[in-house]
Amino acid sequence: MPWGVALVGAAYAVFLRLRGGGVDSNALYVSAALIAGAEAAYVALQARAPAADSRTRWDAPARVVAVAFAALLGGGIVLVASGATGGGLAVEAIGVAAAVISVAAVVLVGARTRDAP
Amino acid sequence: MTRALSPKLVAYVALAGVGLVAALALRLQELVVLALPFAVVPAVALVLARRPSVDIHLELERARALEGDELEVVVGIEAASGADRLEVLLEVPRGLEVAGGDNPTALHLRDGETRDVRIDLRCARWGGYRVGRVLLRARDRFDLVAWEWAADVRLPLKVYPREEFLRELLQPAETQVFSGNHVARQKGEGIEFVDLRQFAHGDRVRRVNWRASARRGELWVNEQHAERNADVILFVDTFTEASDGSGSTLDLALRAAASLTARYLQQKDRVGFVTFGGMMNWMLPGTGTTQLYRLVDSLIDTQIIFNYAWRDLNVLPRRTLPPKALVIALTPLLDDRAAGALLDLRNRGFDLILVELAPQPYMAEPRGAAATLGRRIWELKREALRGRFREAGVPLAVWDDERGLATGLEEVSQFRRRARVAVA
Repeated sequence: MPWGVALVGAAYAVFLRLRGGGVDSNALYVSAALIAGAEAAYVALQARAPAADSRTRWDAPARVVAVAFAALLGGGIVLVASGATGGGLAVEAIGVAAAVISVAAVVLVGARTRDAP
Repeated sequence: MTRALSPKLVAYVALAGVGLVAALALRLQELVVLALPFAVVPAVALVLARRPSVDIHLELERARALEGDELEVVVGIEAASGADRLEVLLEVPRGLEVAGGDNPTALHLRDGETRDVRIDLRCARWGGYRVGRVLLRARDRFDLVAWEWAADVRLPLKVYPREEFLRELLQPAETQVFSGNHVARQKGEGIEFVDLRQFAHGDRVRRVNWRASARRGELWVNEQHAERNADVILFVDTFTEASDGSGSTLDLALRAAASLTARYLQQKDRVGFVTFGGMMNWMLPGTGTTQLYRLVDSLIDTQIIFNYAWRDLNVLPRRTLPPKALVIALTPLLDDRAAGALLDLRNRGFDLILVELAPQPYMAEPRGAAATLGRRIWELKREALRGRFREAGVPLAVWDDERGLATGLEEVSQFRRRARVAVA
């Protein structure tokens, strides 16, 4: 499944390089579709026990929709922010730092919440 | 409780990392937008994930059931700290089946909430079970982290073999000294007329046969057969069995043993049993309802244990096989050791009846000429073994698909009526 998402992302990157020009405002839709597709694919692939109540039954579809909306919103904010700034070395440095911090934060939180067996 | 991170978490983190690096390398801000959800979802999930705290208890509708019965199991779940998705699986022992309800099932639990999961179990096979090992898996909101643990709240469940229809029981050749429902050979207090004799001092007036006395001019009295009980020993051959997915000869043996036990105890006989095989087990003869429960509880623990050791009757305590006892052997006649022990029993003068539990219904049909020939030779050997028992004066009933247990026992009764068993 991750390979499929990565390939779609790569194809979109190729499209962006060939297209040239300014920032593509459709990226937030592509982003929402990608994360929704990934969530839906994992829901479909995972062996799940039958739900005993309606909340559990609708939990997965609701999550797919919620994640897609959140991606739309988050993507929108990032696009607006990128449009507002003028770019330059400082912004690139901040971008590099944000990327490193994001990945490090995920790894750290994962390690901290690990329970003893 | 063990915590496991799902492969989805690894994939999302990897996709986020690749996306962000690619965004930097290619100077494409759009890729940041693409990668952002894959980074944010794991981060939010890990921050919100919390270890559940759940207590499990179990209720069984009843602790005893008959083969084929259905009973309800309630898995009670009490959550001190809830879970977004809790999957509950009741481990069902082999011999029991899920007849209703979802197993496994998933539910959402809030903090402090109590829920019941109801599962109907069908008792497919007799035996002693312990039901109540519950496997639990709690997942976080995004299915990225899972906690797995098992709750052991097992309760005993005894499934008794269902009873077979029996029209009439086999009468023993010899009776014991206590009163019962069998007409004894000896004369004594009873109902069945046996003879006339001259009045003697101490005879009751109500026993005087007035018609015979008037004809002979002196007092004559009636004599009756005494009514006595019998000792019945159920001899279960547990050296080996023939079985397929649907059942086995041991199932038949236990079903027959349970039915015979209940019926003989109803008529005040003393009943005991011996399981003769890889592992020996026995119970001294006794009477009453307590003995019935004791016997059936012991019978359902019977199992086939493979053993090369050659065993004979000397390993059994002397009191297990009381003199003048009626021994009903339940055997598939598949093991020479059991056949040898039964012939030995007959040679020692026991009133032996053989119930052959036909193994053929549990065997695959032979394929090819060699297999067919082999089956025929095997059948001939079995017929020769039956002949040895008949020569020894042992009546033999066959319980198979065509003939039920009642039919087999009726054949034995007929055999015993026509050709009395020689008692040594």
